Amino acid sequence: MAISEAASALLAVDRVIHEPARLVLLSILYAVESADFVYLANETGLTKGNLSSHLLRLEQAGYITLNKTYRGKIPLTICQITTEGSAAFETYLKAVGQFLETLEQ
Amino acid sequence: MRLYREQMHPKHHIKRAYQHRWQDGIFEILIGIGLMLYALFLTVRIEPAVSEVLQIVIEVLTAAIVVFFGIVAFRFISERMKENLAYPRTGLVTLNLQRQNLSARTIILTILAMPVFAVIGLVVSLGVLYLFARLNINGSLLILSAMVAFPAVILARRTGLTRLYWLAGGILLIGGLLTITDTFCTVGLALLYGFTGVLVSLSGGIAFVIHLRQHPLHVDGEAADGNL
Repeated sequence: MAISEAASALLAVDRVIHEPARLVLLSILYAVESADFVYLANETGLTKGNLSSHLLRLEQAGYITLNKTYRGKIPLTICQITTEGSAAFETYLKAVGQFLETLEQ
Repeated sequence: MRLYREQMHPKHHIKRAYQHRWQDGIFEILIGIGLMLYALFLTVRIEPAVSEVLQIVIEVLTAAIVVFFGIVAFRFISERMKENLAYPRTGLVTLNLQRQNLSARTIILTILAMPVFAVIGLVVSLGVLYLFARLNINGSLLILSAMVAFPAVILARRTGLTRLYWLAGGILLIGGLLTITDTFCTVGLALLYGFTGVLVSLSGGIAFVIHLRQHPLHVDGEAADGNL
């Protein structure tokens, strides 16, 4: 693949995923079955407010589902990647991977 | 800027999820208690009213039942402990079997095979001990301790928790010391599992205390999910 093609593929990547914090969140949720808010906060080091906004953005895009429940009196938010989210993440990885391969050649 | 230093590969996150399951030490505490109970079982031997072979069969079957119910109880207690003590502090993560190339069929077969593996393990350990005792060869407890230490090494590799390597080393050391002291038969086996149980529980207990200190509970009134 010529670099221009790879570059155009890279320019067309999903901007929702491309944001670093959301990319990390999606890569975690892609690897596991589900994770709760506290786990994601600990793993990413993001503040609660920041994490909330990124999760909502991913939910709005249809890439994750947020299941809100309670553990006793404490709110428990379980996050899970959707099929669309997995597909979008794989497409993103492919585009970035191809671009990096082109650079290495 | 921890976020940017983290690796992005799913394998890394799977390893982190495994680590998360083991890092609080709850599993180790319970495994240690299980080993100590098994050591206790070995010390309370059945009165040899029947033939030696039949006695071993009875012991192995009884131990298999103890192990099977131990697994069920282990799962129940560990989940309750994690739900109340660990998850509110460090969060909850569920592993994805598909990402680890494990099908549901493999998992079901593995769970069904667990009692079989337990029985085989007991037969092998008792068989090795019996054989070595008959042949008057020393070192059987060292071999058995290696068999107990092996899963610890596998877990250490899987989770990346270095304390599990030390634990494996400690178990081998116990086996070595018991071999030097010429402790044989059931007493030796009971001591091996007993000391190993104490060591594993101790390791888990220390890890658990450190874990609780490092991860305090959220301040009252502050929503755990950031008012998502």
